[in-house]
Amino acid sequence: MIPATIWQACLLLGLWLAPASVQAAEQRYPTKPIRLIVAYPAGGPSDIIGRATAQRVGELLGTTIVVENRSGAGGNVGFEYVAKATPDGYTLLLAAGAMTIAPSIYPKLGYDVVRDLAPISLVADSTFVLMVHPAVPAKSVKELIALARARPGILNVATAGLGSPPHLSAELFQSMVKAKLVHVPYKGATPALTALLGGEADLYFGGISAAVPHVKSGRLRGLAVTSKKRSIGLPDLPTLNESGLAGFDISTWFGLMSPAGTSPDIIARVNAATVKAVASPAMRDTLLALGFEPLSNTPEQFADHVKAEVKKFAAIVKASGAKFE
Amino acid sequence: MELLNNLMLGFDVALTLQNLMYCFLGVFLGTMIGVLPGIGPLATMAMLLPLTFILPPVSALIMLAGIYYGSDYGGSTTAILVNLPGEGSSVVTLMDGHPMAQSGRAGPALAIAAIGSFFAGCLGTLLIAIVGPPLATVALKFNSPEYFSLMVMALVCASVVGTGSLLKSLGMVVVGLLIGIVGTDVNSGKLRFNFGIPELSDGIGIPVVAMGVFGLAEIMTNLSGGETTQTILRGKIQGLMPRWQDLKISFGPMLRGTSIGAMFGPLPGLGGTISSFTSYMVEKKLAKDPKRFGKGAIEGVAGPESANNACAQTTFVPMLTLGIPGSASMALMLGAMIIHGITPGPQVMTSRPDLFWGLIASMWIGNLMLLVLNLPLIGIWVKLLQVPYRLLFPIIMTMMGIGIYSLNNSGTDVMMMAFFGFVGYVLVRLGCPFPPLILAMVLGPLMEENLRRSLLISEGDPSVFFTRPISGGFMLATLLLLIIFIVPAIRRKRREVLTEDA
Repeated sequence: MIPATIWQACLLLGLWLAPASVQAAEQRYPTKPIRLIVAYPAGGPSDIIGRATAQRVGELLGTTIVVENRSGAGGNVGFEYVAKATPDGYTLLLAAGAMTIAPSIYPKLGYDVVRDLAPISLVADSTFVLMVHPAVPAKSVKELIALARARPGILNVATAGLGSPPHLSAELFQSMVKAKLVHVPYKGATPALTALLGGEADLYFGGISAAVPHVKSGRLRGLAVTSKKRSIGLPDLPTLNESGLAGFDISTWFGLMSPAGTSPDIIARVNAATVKAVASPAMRDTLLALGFEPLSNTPEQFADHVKAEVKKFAAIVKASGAKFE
Repeated sequence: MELLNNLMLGFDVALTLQNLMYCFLGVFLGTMIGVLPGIGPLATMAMLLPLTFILPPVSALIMLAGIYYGSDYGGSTTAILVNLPGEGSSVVTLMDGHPMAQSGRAGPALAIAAIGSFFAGCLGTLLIAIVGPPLATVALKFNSPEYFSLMVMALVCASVVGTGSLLKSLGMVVVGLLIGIVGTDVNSGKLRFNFGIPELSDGIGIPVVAMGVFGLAEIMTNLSGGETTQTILRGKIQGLMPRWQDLKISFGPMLRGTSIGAMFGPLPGLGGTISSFTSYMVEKKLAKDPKRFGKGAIEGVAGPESANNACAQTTFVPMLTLGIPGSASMALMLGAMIIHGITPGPQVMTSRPDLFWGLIASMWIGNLMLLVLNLPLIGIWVKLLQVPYRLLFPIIMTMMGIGIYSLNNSGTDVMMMAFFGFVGYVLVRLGCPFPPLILAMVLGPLMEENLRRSLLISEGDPSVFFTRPISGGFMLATLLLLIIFIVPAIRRKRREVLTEDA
């Protein structure tokens, strides 16, 4: 974006002019605008969440946070960019759930999620909805399982591409119910949802915000959500966990991170601002409208969450055999 | 009657002073930013999206829609004037638009682009109002086999798109297909020709290639000597407005272009490029003297521009009536709706008729504004052609760099554009045409994806392409087209042989 480019020029100039010692700079943090890298293209849910977060957190820190979109390679271009940035608190990352899947499916990544990035706080999490086309004669998860077992290799499951949460949800579902589905990958969530609406695919584990209007209007039949707890958006749908697939738990999240090595003082300050921002009604409304549930935690809890997710997805990916090479 | 009432409601909403102002602001900003090379509708909308957050929902969507077609039109301006296509569909516009500009007829070219867009916008808006919902339902019937067959048909038509040597055109098609292969294989996750560069795992963007092979190569060719003129203009400026004759011969192309665009628009995932190309090919095929195409035929601007705008309008159909975004720009509109607390989907029409019909009415108003805004600007744009190269080229190249960088904040893209500029220069010297390359680059990945998906779902049975009614229809049409194209060629050959014998 042009405004962002101008900001960058100003930032560079600012860096060049900044003479003060690191210590003094830390105490006065922030003394200049902060960049928030969003690893996905402008206009999508991550971008909207990033911009909402940037505005609220910026206000609370008393500075401007400029959103910069650096997308590519499923978010890894942006993640790597921040992982290698100067850890001075002026380059932050809108971290996303995809980074906990990446280590398992990409042959070599230019960064290590756990080692190179310092978690600050979660901002929101969201779930996926198991939906079927109305022509599929399954009214519940139980009926779907029975159908899949009776007709192995017949039901088409749309996914948003290899290694996407919808794909891994489908893989976990297959391995838990011991039934074979035909994996039909699409280039992203929108074409996958369109294919389900058009009846090309029979089922799809889709992001909840795009799913809600279609499930509510009856064009698609929602059967369950993939997270451990029920969702605010579709509270009537059971979880897969309570529908007989004990332990089924796939969700996605957004949070703020900073390059590893950022001073704990700066992290604590951004964390405090983020916790406050997430609790604000304006931010809550934005998140809920997008199908995300507001959430914040401590850097330690966030770090544990990331480690647990990396481990969980590694197991699912290994069982499925999915890999980019 | 109900339609009339609905449209009345729509105009009531759209004609409030506030909404008129935001509509104008959107169209104006969209045109101004869209004129910058490389910054297409999507980038412009994303850039200006935050501005609309503070507005009431209806005004915000009206403004965003204005930005959308404003920037869509803005792209044609740069294509015609300086041979710089910011997106796939502009490649078609410049094939005849730029030669027109060179020969001093930039005014009529820009004007016919605006008039064609307005014409298509009017019909497109009406079409959405009358048959929007059923159209969207039909669009959903298009599954992978239908998409594949449709694209086979488009590719067969492509055989007439190139000018000059058939062999060179075919060669360019192959190069385009090869460039389109770069990226990640959707089915297996294999990375193809990414050379360890993460940015390449998403493939190479159309703007990067189009701006390199057209824009940069054009600059290099102009500077490589031999030319006596130091400006783009090769002749004298001949009037700013189209003559009556121009309008008369453009009417048919505009009408056909609009129908073609309206056919492709509601299909999710296709986009304007294919409809522009198709319209161009149809016009060339129908023309009495196809040799004029590529050298400044006004029909070659009027048809594709109408097709592109009709497509841009009707892309709203699945988004508004079903809540399915057919393109990335529409996904962004959908996101904006959500931000404003409107749940997109079929219920919008009944729960928020003011928004639905207001937006539709504002489309027509926006298209009118686009025309009113752009006709007076033509005089200024045409002046640009008289700017000497030494001033013009550095400015254009800076703009291109900024434009490409801002697409993704990626330096890699800028380097790739430079690389394709070099490739383009070599190809220009060899006399190879670029449009087939761009078309193949657009169609190739789509065809592959849909072919493989069709076969995956049919368990490897290729008969799906013929047994499904819509797909079979396209295949039959393709066969007929082939016959229409080939038979006259054979007859001509035979006549040539006969005359030689005699």
